[in-house]
Amino acid sequence: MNFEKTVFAFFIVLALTLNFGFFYGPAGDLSHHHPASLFAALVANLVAMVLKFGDRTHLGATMLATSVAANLHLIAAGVVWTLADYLFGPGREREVVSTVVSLAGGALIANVVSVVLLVAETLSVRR
Amino acid sequence: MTSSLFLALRRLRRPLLTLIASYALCTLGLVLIPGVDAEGRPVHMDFMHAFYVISYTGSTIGYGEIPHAFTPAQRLWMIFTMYVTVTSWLYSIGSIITTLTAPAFRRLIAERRFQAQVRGIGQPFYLICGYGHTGSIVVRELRRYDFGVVVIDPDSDRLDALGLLDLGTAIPTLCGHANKPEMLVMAGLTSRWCMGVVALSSDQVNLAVAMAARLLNPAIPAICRTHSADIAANMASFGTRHIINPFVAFAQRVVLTYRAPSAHVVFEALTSSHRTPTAPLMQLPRGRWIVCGYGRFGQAVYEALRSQGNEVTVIESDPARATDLPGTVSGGGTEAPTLLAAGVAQACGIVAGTDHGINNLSIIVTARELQPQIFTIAREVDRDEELLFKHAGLHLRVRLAYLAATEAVEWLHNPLLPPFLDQLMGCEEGWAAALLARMVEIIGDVSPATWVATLTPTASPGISQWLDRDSPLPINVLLRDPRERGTPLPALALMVRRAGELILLPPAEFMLVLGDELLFCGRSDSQRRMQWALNDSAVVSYLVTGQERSRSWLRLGAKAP
Repeated sequence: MNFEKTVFAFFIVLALTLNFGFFYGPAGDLSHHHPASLFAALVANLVAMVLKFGDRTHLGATMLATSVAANLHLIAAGVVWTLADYLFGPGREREVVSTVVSLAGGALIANVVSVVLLVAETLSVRR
Repeated sequence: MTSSLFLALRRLRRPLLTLIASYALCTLGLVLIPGVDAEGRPVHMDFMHAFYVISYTGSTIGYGEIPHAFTPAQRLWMIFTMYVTVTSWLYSIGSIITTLTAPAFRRLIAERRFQAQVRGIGQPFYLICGYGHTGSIVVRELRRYDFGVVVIDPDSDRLDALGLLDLGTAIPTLCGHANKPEMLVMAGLTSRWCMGVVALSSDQVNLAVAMAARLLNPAIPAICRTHSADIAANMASFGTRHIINPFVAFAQRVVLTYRAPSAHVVFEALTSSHRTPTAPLMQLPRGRWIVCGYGRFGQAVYEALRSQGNEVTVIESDPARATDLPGTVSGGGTEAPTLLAAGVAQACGIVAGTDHGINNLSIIVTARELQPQIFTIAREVDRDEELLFKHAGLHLRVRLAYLAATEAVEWLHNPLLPPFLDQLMGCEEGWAAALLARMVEIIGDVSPATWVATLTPTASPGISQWLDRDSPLPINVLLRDPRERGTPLPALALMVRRAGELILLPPAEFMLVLGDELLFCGRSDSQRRMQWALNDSAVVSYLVTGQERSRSWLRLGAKAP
């Protein structure tokens, strides 16, 4: 049993699951989307990205690319949420949360692609 | 560049993960632990502000406690945060610095930068393998002719010294072994701008370079230096075009000096570096000679002197070397008793040819004390001894590196010169003396530049147009000054090559034909002036008829000839 591969796969899947956990629920409703959940998703995604560094194969490079895309989305979501008052004006909670959740949705797609690539890589190694 | 980036990123994974983990943990803690506002009500920080506080704590900036003064619980957490984040940063920065300064990484960066430099040369260049004494002279001379140069050498100190010289442009240098074909390819052996390879390292490396050049880029000349006859034969067997053996070259010059001293002066003048004053006529004495040191150099000189009828005694310290020669004196030659035993009192000349320069000087000084009229020849071995040899008052300094370098450069710069020099080696003294007198009269006392004029439409459009019309063109037309056709240029036509046949010293009325290759020697500005005539048929018509043919469509007055 390869410990390194286990950890690698774990963090990639964790990034996807936490991201989905934040994303799930009606878009405009704040009670379904907690900031701590976004934070956890961001941390897991950063760790997953760093673990993908340094792989020179085509597959590895593509996975790194999807990770970078996902991280960009999540960081953008965090920034928008922090600067909500400046960007949207006070009292526009529904629009703020919708925007943040949409950005997280984009990150979710990237994470799905990443996990699909991981599965493909795992299946191609018949051992 | 990308592969070195990937390498760096791989090494940086652990530090980055440490940073992310510590920052995430501390931020989370600061969010969960409640603070109190001005009225004492508990209030939670949001993630962004928590991250802000941790950021300026981790980078040791430390603004202050926002938005309100911290509670004891928060402060306790902050103590933990400070130690953890600052340590993570120190670890990360240490890792980054270690990664960037790792020798393998830096070598990779240097190689990538070198490859980019070579790709960006964009002008014809020569690849020089080996930057020792000979290599440095070759590079200097090639830069004088304004060629591009790329240098490979395994010693980085020597390449640093090259970097400090001011040679007009930055020269791409690679620290590596030239016998590795990948290094040669990286240095541009297969590039379309590479015009030749010069191998000046050790014999085995030169052999490898010759082979690589033959297989990877057979169109360009590979000039290789070797000190061993076996390796020279090996190189010749697969078609290396020019092999320089400095020992043999020197011995040939000794023979030439005996047979035809004027030819030797001409030889030196045509092959020495730019602006060297012409050497005076040198007569080597005939009689008894002493040769100190019977290595490959000593053997070559011994053979040369013997072939000219001299009686030669050898002094050699290694008893295994000169076993088959009668009358060999065993010893170093630096002490008087050995020299006296070899007969220095009756000798007319002495050659100090060991492979230790200071010993050679010592031999000469001792010999001169014993016999003040003796003709002294000493071999200079290290570049650093040059100053001493200059002041030693020798009759003939043997500078093998200079010999090899100038031979290599002349071949590269002017491929028609070596056939002429071969002819010079075999010529009569009378002919050579006449040539020397003409050269001194026309060109003066400095070593002339040599150049080739090829009469093809691409190289010399002016002349070719003229010859196309079947108008006769004697060679002395080219030797007239284009500014004033009455004055001759300070230049001399040495040789014409027509369909493989060599015609030496063509007379003034020699008629030129399309496709001829002409070898000239003269002052360097003569080449530029002659280039006018070669390029422009109007100048040719001026030189022939005295009238410049009108170039425009308007022909007012003068008719086209």
